[in-house]
Amino acid sequence: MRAESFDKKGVFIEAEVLRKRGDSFWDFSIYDRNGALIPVSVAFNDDGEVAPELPGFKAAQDCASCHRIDRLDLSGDPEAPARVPVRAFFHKLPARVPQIHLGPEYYDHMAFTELTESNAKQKDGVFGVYGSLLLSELAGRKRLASLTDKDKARYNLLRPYYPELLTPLDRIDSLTNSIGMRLVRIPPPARKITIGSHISDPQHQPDEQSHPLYLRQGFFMAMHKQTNAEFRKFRPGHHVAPYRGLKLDGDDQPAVNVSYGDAQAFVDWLNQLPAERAAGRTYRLPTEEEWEYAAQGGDGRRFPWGDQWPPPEGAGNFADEASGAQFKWEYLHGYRDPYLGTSPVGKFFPNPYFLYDMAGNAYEWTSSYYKPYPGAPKGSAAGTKPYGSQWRVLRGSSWADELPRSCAVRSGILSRLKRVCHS
Amino acid sequence: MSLMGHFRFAATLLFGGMLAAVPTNWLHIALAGRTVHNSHYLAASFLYQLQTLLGTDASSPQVMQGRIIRRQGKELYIDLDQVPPERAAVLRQIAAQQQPAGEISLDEMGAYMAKRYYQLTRPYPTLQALLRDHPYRDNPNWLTVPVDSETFHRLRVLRINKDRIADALISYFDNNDRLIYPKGTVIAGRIL
Repeated sequence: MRAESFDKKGVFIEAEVLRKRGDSFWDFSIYDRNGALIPVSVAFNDDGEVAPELPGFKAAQDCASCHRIDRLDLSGDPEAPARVPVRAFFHKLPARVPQIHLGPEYYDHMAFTELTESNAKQKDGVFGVYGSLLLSELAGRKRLASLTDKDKARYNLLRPYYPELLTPLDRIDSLTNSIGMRLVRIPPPARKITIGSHISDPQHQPDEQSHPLYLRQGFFMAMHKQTNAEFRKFRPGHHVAPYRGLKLDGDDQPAVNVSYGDAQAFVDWLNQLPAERAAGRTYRLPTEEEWEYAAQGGDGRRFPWGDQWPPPEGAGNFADEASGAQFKWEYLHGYRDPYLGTSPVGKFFPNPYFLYDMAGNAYEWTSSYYKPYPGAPKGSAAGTKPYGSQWRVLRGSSWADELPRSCAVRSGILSRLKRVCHS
Repeated sequence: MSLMGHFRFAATLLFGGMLAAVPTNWLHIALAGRTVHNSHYLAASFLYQLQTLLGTDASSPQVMQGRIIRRQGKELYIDLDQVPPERAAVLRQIAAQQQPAGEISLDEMGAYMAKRYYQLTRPYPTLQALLRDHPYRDNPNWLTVPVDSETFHRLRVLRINKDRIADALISYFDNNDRLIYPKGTVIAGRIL
């Protein structure tokens, strides 16, 4: 099934539609650019270009093979691959819409056969996945407080049936401190973890090679980036000038134009608050290793939203198409978010630890100074800056980034005194 | 060695006897190019078209029920006694397009259905008519699912009405833990 098709210039070519029929099978129909029914779809070549010389998909024959294999498998082939055990459909709620990747190498491959069959045994063909995705989206939007009225009604309708999945936010292991910051518990890893980027990561730097790390203790981490309102409790005069007309100073926007020294001063102030002292809480900036571990959400994901590239809708606040059009700079093609500058914190999907904006919106300071990772070859410094404590490591990515960074790469190295509107 | 040879001979005779027992009103389904891994897909395509030919309503003869499909070893057959006579005649007619006439191939079925599929399934006659009933474009009431598939070499965003998914989720437990979308559910989307 392919749905609406456009050529590389964005010109509408055709629409392919599935409709459930009375006998529980699906019908497939294809409409041309004028909206008229046609029997065979347009084909694309490996470059995604329209390729009239290649065979298209026939509505009557080709779609059903994959989509209805579950109820139509009577081949009884004794040499067919062994069936895999059926996993529980709702065993685990995905924290984000997962990547669904079916490459051509799978079509005649045992693993794909098994995947399709195990999926189909429990669901309405391969479309069964939409059930868990809807629950995932409703749970995510509930936590973001961004349910539309209709989504709210769906959430309330489904909650009695799936109470363990539509879990309220209150059940997250978290605490709220005396200035209203919410912090979530990041558990220690069960085993040794790997920190640093792999050489195959396009943003990998030679001195950031992956290496093992033993993180023995868990910690709490702020659920959201520090907002201007929170920062103004520490520094009432904090004010961020607009950037090319964009307002960056809203109470619920992240505090930017903050140097490493400013961030550390905020931490020091927090540690001196009587209520925090009485509660026995001590604050510090995370190391870059802690930041990376937390961003990976406990499952080693490549990006805070998962492994998918490009990022799915709702992944974060990046330089999207509107940003590119407005500022005539590089942007993430095909991606849209509702914000040109920084967004209010917590408007995008969190990672599995319920940390928001770990990708996009604004860079984050870490306490780590600029140094090569263990085992890095000599002379492999990524930039022109010398190693040393005068430089501090930034992590995450910002509203002006067209290429959001993976969890494992540094966003930049900045003088501890420098302030920019991205961090 | 001699004894083993006799056993093998006996087994061959028995197997040959089973094949000879296929009733004359069983139409053999030929799936050219079948392999261990693709036989599922080829069979699914054939059976889907057969179901469409027999009818698309809940009251239509169900291909997977009523002993319409028979199996011997790896081979599938249509028991023509189990389908309405006029449809059995159509199936014989399709099978007669190519030799052997007592065998109906996926190609024969595909060629026949290509001309009649829309007539049998009665889709919306135009995309505009479909969109009037199912306004899936830029609609927050439709779930959007990005799918990265090498099949089409482009990222797709699929859309399905959230209320239809909710219906399926509610009936999930009554349907023996299966997610069954209600009749009329539409899935659409676009390639980026």
